[in-house]
Amino acid sequence: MDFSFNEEQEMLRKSARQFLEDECPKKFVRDMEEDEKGYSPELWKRMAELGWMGLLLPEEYGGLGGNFLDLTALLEEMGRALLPGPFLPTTVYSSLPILHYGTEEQKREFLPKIAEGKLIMTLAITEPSGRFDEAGIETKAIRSNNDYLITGTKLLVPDAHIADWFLCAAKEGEGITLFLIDAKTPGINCTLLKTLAADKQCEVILDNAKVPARNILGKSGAGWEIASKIEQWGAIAQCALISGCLQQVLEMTVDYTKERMQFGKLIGSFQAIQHQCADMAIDVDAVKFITYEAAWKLSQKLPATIEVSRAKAWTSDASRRVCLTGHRIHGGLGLTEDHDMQLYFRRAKAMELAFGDGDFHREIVAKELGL
Amino acid sequence: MAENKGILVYGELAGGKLASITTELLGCGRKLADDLKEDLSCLLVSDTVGEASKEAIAFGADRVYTVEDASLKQYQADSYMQVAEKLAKELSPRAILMGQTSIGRDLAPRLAFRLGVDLATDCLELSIDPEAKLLMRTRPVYGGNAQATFSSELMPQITTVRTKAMSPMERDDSRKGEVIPTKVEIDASKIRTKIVETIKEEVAGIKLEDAPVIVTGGRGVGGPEPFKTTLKELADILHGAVGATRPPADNGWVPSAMHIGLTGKIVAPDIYIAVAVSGASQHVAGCSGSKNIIAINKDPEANIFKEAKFGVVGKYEEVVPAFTNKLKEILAG
Amino acid sequence: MPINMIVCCKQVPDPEAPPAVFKVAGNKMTLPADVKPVISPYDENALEAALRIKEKTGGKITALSLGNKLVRDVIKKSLAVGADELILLEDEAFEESDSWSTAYALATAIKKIGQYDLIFCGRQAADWDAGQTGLGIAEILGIPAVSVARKVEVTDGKVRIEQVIPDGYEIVEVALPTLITVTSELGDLRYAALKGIMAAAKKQPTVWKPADIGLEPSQVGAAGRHSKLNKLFQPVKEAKCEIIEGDSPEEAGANLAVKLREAKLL
Repeated sequence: MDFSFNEEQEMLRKSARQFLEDECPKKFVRDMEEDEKGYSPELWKRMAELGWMGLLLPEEYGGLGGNFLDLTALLEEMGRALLPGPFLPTTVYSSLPILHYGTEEQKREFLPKIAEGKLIMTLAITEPSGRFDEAGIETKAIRSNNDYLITGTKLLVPDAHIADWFLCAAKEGEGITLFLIDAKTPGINCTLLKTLAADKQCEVILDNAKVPARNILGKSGAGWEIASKIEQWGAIAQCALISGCLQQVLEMTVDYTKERMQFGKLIGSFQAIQHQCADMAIDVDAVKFITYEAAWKLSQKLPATIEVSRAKAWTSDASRRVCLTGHRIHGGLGLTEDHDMQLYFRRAKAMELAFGDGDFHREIVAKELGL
Repeated sequence: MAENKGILVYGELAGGKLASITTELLGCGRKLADDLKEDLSCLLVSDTVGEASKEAIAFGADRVYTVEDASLKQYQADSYMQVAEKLAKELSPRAILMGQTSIGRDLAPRLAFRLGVDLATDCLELSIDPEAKLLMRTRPVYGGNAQATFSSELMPQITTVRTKAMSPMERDDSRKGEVIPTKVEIDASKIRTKIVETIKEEVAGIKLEDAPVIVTGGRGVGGPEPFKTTLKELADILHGAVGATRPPADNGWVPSAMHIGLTGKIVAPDIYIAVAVSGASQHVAGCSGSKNIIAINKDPEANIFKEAKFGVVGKYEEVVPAFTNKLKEILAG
Repeated sequence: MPINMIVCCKQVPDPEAPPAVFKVAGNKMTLPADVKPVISPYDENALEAALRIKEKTGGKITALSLGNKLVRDVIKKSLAVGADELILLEDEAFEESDSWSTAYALATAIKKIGQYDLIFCGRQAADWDAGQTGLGIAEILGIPAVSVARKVEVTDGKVRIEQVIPDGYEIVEVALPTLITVTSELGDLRYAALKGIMAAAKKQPTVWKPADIGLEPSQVGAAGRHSKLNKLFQPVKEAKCEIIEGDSPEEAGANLAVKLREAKLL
């Protein structure tokens, strides 16, 4: 067994860490919370120049032919830096489904532009029901000649306010169909929501938005199969982000225990604190390896339903524990706005819920166990 | 080969006078020579050396070798090396001391490699090992995170010394010494570089090296503007100068002449006010000789507080203007 | 005219690591395993200088590094950002080199490479901070050298260099071949694009042992030193900073002024 990343992934990680330390300092993260767009087009362009948007795409579409494990290394660094912006919505939630289920024409139209950083996309599946299953989709698509008219409300669509295109799920008869929708289509209305993580989530209302039939992704009525796959990719991508985020929370906390004096001693010398730090370290390590295993399966295109759900269930729960312990050790200081702890905590909470929380994925694991 | 004896100081001139680093080198060289019971010589190289040779004697030299040539007006490695190599071979000193200056940094390594001997750069302390009679040379390493003492049996033991690390002797114009004008034929064909232009990026006001008070801004000030406003106002009140750590200089917020640190200027003012300076070892190396370091930083864990005598934890944008205003009030009496 | 460039890159412990992690034990600097080594920052500036010339004028960049057990994903960064070739002088015998034995081995390797117009080095390395190796290589090779460059351009077989001096800079011209030591004002090394990283991962560096460059083990590393390290130590600092408080940052600032007056510093 080899538990280490390869040389290329280590280089990728180092390079990404340096880039993000320089270009995405916490001041930038804070500024972006206040910023209407929530991302920096200039930084987005530079990330594209470094090839990040095309990591998972084949060379023929302007990408680099990397795999999901490569992406995991990159995402861990993004999680560590709390990089704001539409990276996952554009790449994992949109470019991957197009690559795997799109027509050649669709691939040629979308993928090179995504790789170049010229196209921002997002995924519009969730609805006010909050459920991530077929029955949760009430948005309707009605065929009219060569077009579809789509009507419904999508909630918690990440970065929809800046997206050029949406990948949107709608009910067509009894099945679900995925549509590629130009954000400029008349009848689409997008409102920015206020969220805990100050990430940019939107409500998108579609009112008879007209979409050409050729913009169906995959087969008509067979969209849920794609949505389930996106859910797997998305869940592991979130796990990787959480992993980087928690690693930083751990480091920040341990550093603090080596500096903070109480009763004339460093708090890191108290056994109660030591054990809590040890628990955090154990949790973070487990998060990493359970995530890596699932990411590896995905990178090898192996069935990974149980691995993905196991990873997301564990990671979501561990995220809660690690952040809580981190906060507890930091005391009042960690709750101040000036301190970075709260930035991590708020985002960890959002990531814990994205693509299913612990209970959601425990259900899947139980089902896979034949229960 | 003759036995190597005596200490040779490679002197520098500034505005026709002995540069302060050279008086420091003579001060330290004098002690070393006395410990060895040997002589202290000084080499002065320029188009015209003038009265500086007498100064060198007043500051401790027993002998001053002057090399004058029109081609030596401006430092150029290939011409100065001809002088340094010839004199080092002819005088065969036990040790050569140079300043860790722009010239010393450039000339000393070339000379050491030309002669096939050892060089210790940027030394803070020098002493003679009584038994081996070797120069023990202590210098900061790892960006100032440690110090190391080096020695070498190869003669001459070439050493560059950090500015302001040593104290000059009291000037004594009654000291006796010998000035020895020395002719070195400069072979112009061996000068391979050509200085096309010299561009001065003079910083207005008091020179950093001479300022009794320095207000230094770090990366944390966030841009070029505060150097001209907030920090400048504070420096002006105290009749001081404004300096910077490396990132502002590298980012072009300020001219590199304002950079204080291991690879910039070394300063030792009475009061050094570090504003939004994290206190990286590389920077501290340039200001640790200051008598009183005062730190203003919003991060209570910033390393600069480990160097400072007084500190304020807070955003400099809020702390500094209030500090400046109160100073105005106090100084107005 | 395509230019053959060699850039000397040293692997050093990360100088940006917090001061507290630098610990001396048995005359050696030890850092915790989680502080990863890096390419010495000024050597990165040197690499950037070469990359800019390659972009403008064309040419080939060979990165050259000396040490033992060099970490591949660190030292191959040179390839990831655009160097064409990486040569490692890598052997136990190269351990504990000083400026002399480092420059001697590098110069000997450069002679073996043979083709060179420009050699770039950082102005000093972030471990021993000596600032000798670059100029030493030039002496050994008998070529001109210009130190502390903040800008380097090549035109008509000549190099034009902006050399930093205490209160400004000089523009210096020199013919090829020449050696240049580079300072941080030149600018940071560019980030490696993923494409470069992937290509670098597939490339294997050329590894030379002392014998490959015609040197005996006695001429390199610790055995080839000119200097003896008598002692490595960390002076004890007595930290006693008095933090001036106040109900607001403004009040703390004003209190600081009062404190300085009381301490008779004004």
